[in-house]
Amino acid sequence: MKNTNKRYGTILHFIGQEVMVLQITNKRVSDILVVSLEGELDHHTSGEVRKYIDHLLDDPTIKNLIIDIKKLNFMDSSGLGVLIGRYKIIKKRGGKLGVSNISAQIDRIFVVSGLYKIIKPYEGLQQALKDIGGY
Amino acid sequence: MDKINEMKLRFVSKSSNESFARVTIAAFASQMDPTLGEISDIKTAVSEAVTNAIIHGYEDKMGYVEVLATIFSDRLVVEVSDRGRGIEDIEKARQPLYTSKPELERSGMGFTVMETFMDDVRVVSGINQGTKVIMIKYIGSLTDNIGGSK
Repeated sequence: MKNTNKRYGTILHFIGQEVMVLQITNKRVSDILVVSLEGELDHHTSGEVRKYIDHLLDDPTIKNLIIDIKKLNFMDSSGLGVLIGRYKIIKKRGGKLGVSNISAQIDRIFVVSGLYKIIKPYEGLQQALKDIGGY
Repeated sequence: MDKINEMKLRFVSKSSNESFARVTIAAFASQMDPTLGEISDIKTAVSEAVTNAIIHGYEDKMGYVEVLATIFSDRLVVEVSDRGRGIEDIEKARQPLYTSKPELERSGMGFTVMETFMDDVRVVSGINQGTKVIMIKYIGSLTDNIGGSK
């Protein structure tokens, strides 16, 4: 037990940084819908994300979807359900689903679940836009 | 036994308590001097177990979820229990991609994620008696887990 260890302070700071709510923003780039998630994506917040994205996807001129998770500091398997569900919608339109700025913790969940079989990971949003839309 | 510290958390099966539970257990575990990776692992696994208790244990009913966390010199043991409907076939429930609720867009990866992020996961369940998930995470020892969170 090393409570005076300097890492202890770092960890408490890390926990304190948690954003308890989820914030969602979106933008359109031609036929691509970009949705940015900030905060925590779990079972509690997944319903809101699903509703938000599906409402925007009612617009048939949207073909591709990029979900940017640069500021998402937590995700569990409830988030996988959201991504798989949106993939099904986008696939029906012949579009692509990309996810950008994946953290190490979320990457491990994507790896064990086999999610990379259906979504393309991107280091940054610009790379995703360039690859999916050619912009 | 080399038990060093222990805590118990009890809350109603509301989804807003999922983040409360995982952050509380992570804060408690931080006295073990874990790495940020280990803290992330614990948070994710606790979130999965608590979500299962809320969605599958109690379904639409309200009940209490209990989380017992015990610190030993080399490991953290977390027990998440509910007194809900129980799991009929534990083997099946633990299989990757299996979900009893596909209509809710569940991925069926909850137990797989717990197994990935913790060193040992045990499940005890009885029909209409409830479910207990016991998870063990070795902290700061030579026990390395798959994925290299150290």
